[in-house]
Amino acid sequence: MSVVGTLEGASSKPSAAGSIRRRLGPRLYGVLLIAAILLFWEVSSRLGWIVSAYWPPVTKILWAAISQLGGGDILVSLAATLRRALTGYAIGSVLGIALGILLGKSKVLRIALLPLIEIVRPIPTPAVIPPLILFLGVDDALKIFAISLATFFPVFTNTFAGVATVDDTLIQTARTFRTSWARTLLRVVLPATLPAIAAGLRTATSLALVVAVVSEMVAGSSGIGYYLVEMQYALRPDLMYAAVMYLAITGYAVNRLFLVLEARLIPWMGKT
Amino acid sequence: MFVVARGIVCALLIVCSVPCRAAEPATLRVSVIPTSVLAPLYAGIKYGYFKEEGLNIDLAPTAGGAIGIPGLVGGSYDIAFSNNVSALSAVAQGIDVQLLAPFPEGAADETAVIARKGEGIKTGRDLAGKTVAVNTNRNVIWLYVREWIRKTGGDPAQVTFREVAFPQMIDALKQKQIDAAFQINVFVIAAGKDPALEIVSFPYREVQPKVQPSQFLATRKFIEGNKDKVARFLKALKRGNEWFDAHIGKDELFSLVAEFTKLPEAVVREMKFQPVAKKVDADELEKTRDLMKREGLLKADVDVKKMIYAE
Repeated sequence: MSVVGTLEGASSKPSAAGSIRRRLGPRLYGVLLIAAILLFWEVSSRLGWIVSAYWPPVTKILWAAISQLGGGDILVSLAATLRRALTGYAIGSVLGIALGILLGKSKVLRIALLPLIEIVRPIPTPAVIPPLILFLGVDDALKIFAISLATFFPVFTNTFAGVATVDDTLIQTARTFRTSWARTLLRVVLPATLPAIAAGLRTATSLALVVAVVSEMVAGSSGIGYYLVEMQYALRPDLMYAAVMYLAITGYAVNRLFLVLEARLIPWMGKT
Repeated sequence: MFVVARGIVCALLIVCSVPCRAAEPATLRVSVIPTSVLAPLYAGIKYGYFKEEGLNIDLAPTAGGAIGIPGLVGGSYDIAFSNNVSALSAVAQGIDVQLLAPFPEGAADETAVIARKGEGIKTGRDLAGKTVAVNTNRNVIWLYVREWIRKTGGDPAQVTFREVAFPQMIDALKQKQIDAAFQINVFVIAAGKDPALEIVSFPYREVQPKVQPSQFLATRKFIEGNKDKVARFLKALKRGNEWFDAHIGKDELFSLVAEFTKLPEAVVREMKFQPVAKKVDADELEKTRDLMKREGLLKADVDVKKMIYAE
């Protein structure tokens, strides 16, 4: 009896742990890895394994991050960065989708514009920021242009490739029904291309955020990029890492939001 | 009758609008970096000296001085904070900028070469085959550390110069990625307290003790089109300078600097503050120009006297 009792007792405990594991699923391992890295960071700083003014303990960073919730500079800076990133992202995405579809369907436009796009595409956006200061100044126009440029290419490339792979039977069927060019584009080509466009848009979200931060670091008066550099010079690494933490959370949240929207709005994504 | 009344109303509106517009402060966009030498400007803003001159100072802080001159030329700024080497390079390249005002003296006591303690780096001669960190190659820090190496028996050609941002220099030094670094004030203070590091020398003291590395610049075109605004700016700045000189070593100055640099006040209290220079010194600028020529940084000759703005 006692053996059975022990077995019952033992089996009830793993079931609680099991339910947590089930709820978190494979994410548990990811969470554990992050926790282990942060713990290692904390210990390495506290025990002096890494001696640097720019290696504060994680708990100090967390405290700095929490103290900012009551209305600190980080959230204001983050809002400024997000505003720029969203504006640039919207402009770059609209242009990328429009040109991707148009070039995909028009041979004349393809011949005229594709060489230019292919020449500009490999240029890293941060490299063009300093010379652009002369033409666009140092304010939002410069940063939004750089973000739009960085967003444009993945969206354009994916859209363009997506249009090229639209099943020809669909187009032929639309033609059989004498569907107009514009209607075919909107009702046949666009929905068939949406999964490709969405893939491009998702790649572009992280790029938009990265370029927003970099442009603020080079020519910023506000935003999280400027804040990061400012805090380095102000000998406040705790606030600098807190800003990086907020940035990471934002990037993660944007990506999750994108996946949710993708599943809701393009349910045929990933299905053949 | 109605037409006459309307005419009178219009005339009154026009007459009224002139003083109304005159009362509106004119805006000057000034690029700044978070450095303590800008304290007189911030004092002028805080204590309303610019407002009293009818000026609204729109500060555009940037993390580094690199975009100051491009921003000036592109029209983003009216006045930019920059340095003597960048200003001379700009003029040599045909960008007609003028130096507007002097800054607090004492650059020679604030910037230092630091190295790891106990490795025997005392002079430029000891740096042969070593790596020295500078914030930007071919700019003011690079220029003066090379001259210091030469003056103290070394050969800059035998030294590797590596670009490292000021906040990362101490870590790079401790991790032995570099052997010495030319650092600015706050980090010199931090290095002085670090048992693993030591201050080797204050290169400006040995090369050019009265050097004026910091400048306020504006294009000649802007100055000529806005003489009144520039005059009012300089008048208010002069009051800021006077406030600064009168508050050296006082709490008000420490808290002002801590406020705009965001540095901990304890660090600010350790900084050395010197009075503002009386004028932009042409002789000092000539010395910088000659050093630049020797290092190949200036291809064209520059008449420094023409670069200094005279009211």
